[in-house]
Amino acid sequence: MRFTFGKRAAAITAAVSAAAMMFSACGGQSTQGGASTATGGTLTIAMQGDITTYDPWSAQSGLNGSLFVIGGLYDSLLNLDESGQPVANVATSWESADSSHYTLTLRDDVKFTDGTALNAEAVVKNVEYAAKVKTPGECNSYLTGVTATAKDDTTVEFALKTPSVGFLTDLGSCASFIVSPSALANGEDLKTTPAGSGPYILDTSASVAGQKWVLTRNPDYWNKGAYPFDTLNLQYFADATAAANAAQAGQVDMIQSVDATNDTSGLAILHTSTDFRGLMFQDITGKISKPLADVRVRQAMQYAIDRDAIKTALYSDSGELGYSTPFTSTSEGFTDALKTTYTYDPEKAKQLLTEAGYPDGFTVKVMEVPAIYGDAAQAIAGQLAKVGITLELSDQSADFFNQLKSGKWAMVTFNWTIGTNPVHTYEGLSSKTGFWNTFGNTSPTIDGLLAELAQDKDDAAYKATLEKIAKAFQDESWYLVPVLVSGATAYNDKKLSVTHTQGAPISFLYQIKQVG
Amino acid sequence: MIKLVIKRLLLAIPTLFVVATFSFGLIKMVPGDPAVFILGQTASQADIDKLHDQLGLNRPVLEQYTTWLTSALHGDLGTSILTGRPVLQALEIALPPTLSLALLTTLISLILGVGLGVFAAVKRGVWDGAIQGVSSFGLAVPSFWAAYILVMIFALGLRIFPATGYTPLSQDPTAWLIGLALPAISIAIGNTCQILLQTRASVLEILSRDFVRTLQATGIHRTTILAKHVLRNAAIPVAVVTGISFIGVFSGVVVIEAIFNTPGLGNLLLTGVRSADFPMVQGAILFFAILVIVVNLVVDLVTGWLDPRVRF
Repeated sequence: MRFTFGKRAAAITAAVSAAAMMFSACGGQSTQGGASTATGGTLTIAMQGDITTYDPWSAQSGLNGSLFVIGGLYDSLLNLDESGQPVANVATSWESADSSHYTLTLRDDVKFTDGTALNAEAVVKNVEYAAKVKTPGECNSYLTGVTATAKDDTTVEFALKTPSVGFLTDLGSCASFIVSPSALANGEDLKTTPAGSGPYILDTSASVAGQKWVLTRNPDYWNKGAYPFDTLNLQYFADATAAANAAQAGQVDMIQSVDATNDTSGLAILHTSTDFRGLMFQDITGKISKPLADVRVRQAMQYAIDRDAIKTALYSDSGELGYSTPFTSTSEGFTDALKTTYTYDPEKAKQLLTEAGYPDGFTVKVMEVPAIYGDAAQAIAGQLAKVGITLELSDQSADFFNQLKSGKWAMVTFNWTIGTNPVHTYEGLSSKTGFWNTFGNTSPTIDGLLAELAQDKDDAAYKATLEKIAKAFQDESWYLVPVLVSGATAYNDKKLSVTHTQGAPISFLYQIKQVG
Repeated sequence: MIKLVIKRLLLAIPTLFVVATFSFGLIKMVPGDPAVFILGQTASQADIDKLHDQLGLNRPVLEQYTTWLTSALHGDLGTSILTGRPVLQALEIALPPTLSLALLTTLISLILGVGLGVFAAVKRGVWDGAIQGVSSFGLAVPSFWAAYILVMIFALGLRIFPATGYTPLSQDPTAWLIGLALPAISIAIGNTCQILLQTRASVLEILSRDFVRTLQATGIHRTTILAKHVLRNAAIPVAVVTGISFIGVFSGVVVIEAIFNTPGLGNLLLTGVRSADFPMVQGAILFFAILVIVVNLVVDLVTGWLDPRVRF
């Protein structure tokens, strides 16, 4: 399930997307999967993040929440369907010669609220701006090494320095919210004044910085039917319980991010992101914990944990079994063989430890952040103790980042959200400069496979490479992850019908429809 | 009286300096890196270092402090590390909800506390015992617990009041009152009991004075004695307790505002602490300190007005 190269496939995809879009734009009372095209009313969303800027090229880690606002104020070149495939939006069709060159054809009737046309030149200016903006946003890196050229008003070409099969998915996720070029000259103003062409405009008189953001319909928007609500009322909630209470009292229709096990809000739970969360072997070269340098020891620890027991006891339905590789059971590249690589087998664990020269086990210092993986870390420690391995868990929440960088901890509890484009997920994890990889570990095998992945031109080859990556993460045993934990959005299913794109942190605005 | 005001205002300068210095030191001692909070999991070390540089977080702590202090003396409390917005602007937006909450809480506490306190002192007997008993319980009830119970009953159950939110007074006075009712009552429970017990004790003490007996002997009506003589004399300690309660509201708002999602100083402070946003925390603490100084001054002025003996 991924974008396939070639003009024919692209044309079909675009045609289907355009048809779907026209269907949704027609209005009426038709129903699609429980959702209808009913319009009007207000959608109130409780957000857990403050909106610190209206510049999509500076949107930081609050993107989970700011995606609602940015997605309301700006048009994206592409949208995504539930499986992460690009869907037409401002770009009506696309084609690619290879994974380094993409050509997008744009609509010719989209205008920014300041009257400027959203054309190919505007896209070029945005790509240039994304590379030089003072505080780059979370998605700007997707455009690193990307050059955009306007062939004519409605045709824009992208040339990628590093090939990327998932480039169109990146554009659809968050890397193509286009800002009016006239506003880019003074990017600082974008912090407080949006300049987009999206379905909504900011109601500055009703919005209060840091508290609530009220968006009303853009009267000139070209695709009103895709956005059923007349008003968006986005409210910041610093406290999750307060948001749940507001939902129960009928004051909010949706909570951006909730604990997937927590149904106190009385709302329906939609599993969204998947977190690859667990223990990470930082010291795989044995700088401070010699045993961990031996891959057999790390593999022994995989055999010593009972994944089923941990999932059942701690995560129930809010997680799925993890096999120490950053692939969900629905990820492309996941195979059933991954499930049996490390079955629960303490005897095998002891045997591997003996072969590695540690028949009596060993002790290792683990930097723990209970908020990230507290209960499970304790459970894993308990199970490893049965094969003689002692995890000395130390809560370092208070000084998390300094301790992570300190090089004192052979293992750490970690969390990595699996995104829409698998390449970024695996690159981010295995990169020498990755956030969690503070020991600067490298894997020539995984790096080589990622380079191969970027060049794969057909689905079969792409899938085969992903399968190899999934297995390589297991074999090299960088991680001890018994459960993949789901993130979730809560919504009022009597009022809303919400879908979600695999890997996206939250649903996109165009995926939120009215019921009835 | 003017001398008192001038003296207090002059004393406020070193007080604020000490508060600012200590709070800065405390914030710097608290571990946490706002750059990590802002950039999230995709950040590389280079990104984090770049942001440290932009935010000035890699400069020596003393230099950071003197820069902040110099700006503060010029009326500039800096910009929030997290949002990039001016701190003063954020505080100005957050001040009205907190002040509204504090004033409404104090008003409720004062009316109920003084009313029931006088009633208990005058009636004595079963009523006095019952009121004292309830007050002891009320004093022991934590405001956050009361808040959750009130939300459960009146917001989620009966749906009389909203569970969260705040409407500015200028926008809709009724919505303002309804929105603040539950948070104000949550804090007012304890404060009412405090004022009630103080009022009761003061009134009883004054009632036992000789001059009251003399007034009664002259045939003046009991209500007149109570209103004109007893209450005025009993009001001094009550004013002091009310002032303390008012100040106490500011310590309670951090939790209460979070529970009710009231966009006040407490919520701002909480978000600032969570994200290690020191200019915001510093600004909020300074605002709280100024509020406390002003309230103390008002209490002193009221006390002086009530009792000429304590005038300067």
